[in-house]
Amino acid sequence: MVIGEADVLAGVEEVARRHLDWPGPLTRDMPLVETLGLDSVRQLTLVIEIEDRFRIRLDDQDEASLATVGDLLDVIGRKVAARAPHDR
Amino acid sequence: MQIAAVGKAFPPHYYDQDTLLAAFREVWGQRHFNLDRLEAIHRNVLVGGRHLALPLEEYHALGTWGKANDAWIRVAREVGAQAVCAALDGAHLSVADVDALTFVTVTGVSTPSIDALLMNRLHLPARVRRTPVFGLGCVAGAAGLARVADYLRAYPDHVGVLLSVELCSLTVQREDLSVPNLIATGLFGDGAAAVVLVGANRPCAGPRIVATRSVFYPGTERVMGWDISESGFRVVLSADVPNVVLEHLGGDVDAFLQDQGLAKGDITRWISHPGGPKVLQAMQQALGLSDADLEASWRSLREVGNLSSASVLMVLEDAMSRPPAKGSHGLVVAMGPGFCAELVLLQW
Repeated sequence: MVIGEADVLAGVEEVARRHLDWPGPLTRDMPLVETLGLDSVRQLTLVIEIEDRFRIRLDDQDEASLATVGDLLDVIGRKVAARAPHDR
Repeated sequence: MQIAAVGKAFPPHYYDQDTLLAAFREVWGQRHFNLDRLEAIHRNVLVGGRHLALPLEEYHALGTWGKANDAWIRVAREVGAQAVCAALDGAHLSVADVDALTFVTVTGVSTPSIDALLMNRLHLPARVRRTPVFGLGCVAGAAGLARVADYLRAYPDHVGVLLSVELCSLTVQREDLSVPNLIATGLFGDGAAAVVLVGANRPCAGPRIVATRSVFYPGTERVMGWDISESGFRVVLSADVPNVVLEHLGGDVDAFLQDQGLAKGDITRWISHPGGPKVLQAMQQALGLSDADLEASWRSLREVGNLSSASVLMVLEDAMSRPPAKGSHGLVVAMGPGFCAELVLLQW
């Protein structure tokens, strides 16, 4: 399954708005931690909500690679494309 | 003022963490895609099992805050009575000896308060001065010791009882999928503890309360607490709890002990609220302590979970059951919503 980056971005923005009180748009170059004020609880909130919304699983390696919003969009796109048919 | 005895009581329904986790997986299975993450959160709190106020299968029928709170009143009265009786037995005193009863909780509400219900349930003397305290949260065990000690300073012939009842399971919000709630559902358990304290004119074998200190941290209201929703208590738990511990606790403990002519190295027994693994690790770092120094707190966390205000009193009971050499000092340490800390210096 392929999902367009605009759809992924819209989904991430909605998660950020609903669960992390982030009011504005997000762009690829924004640093994730600083932009969304991610402490350990908020980072876990972001990860769980992303997993629920896109029906994917993020592992430790995925999380460690997330420096910018663009990194998150890339991981989501890759995971959605790779997920097993029964998870779709 | 001295601590004569500590009594504890638990509801009879004990479940290991695997059983509880299986029940939560069932509840949240339709809502969360990656349930392994929920399991990881529950395992990371290092709790092995917990007592629950009710049999597990009865929770789904609670439905409303009113029903949950009715159950809270019923069970709080029972385990509260058991804890008070155990403490009085340990102190070789009877209900007729009690002059003051301070009741602390943050998990349910009742008017008349639980202390009033226990006046009838235990046939306490009508003259007993009652003080129900709601809202101090995890710090209330230590704070309660300090407030009863203040009372006994004024009335050195009197006997004061502190009772803590916390039935955290009856505050669980099944619809709240927030990370703080996921952590709380893995961490908090149910139980009660009572402490009998006596004034200076009624000497006993237990440790003396040498001094107490309250410390408040301005501007930290959202670190921990409750938001009140239509369905009850919704937990507020920020990642800043360990940071507040690291930033403040070491200096506050040093200053308190220094005022008593002591230093951290003079403390033989550390009687700390267990909090959770991150809080205990932060405490150890802030105070320069090892796992062994806080072993009783780690063990309490493993065996029964975080019981909010009752937890530190359970750790106190452990210290009382294995008293150090005469003259040794102990320090009761707890922190809670505000954010704030309470320190109680003991000497055996």
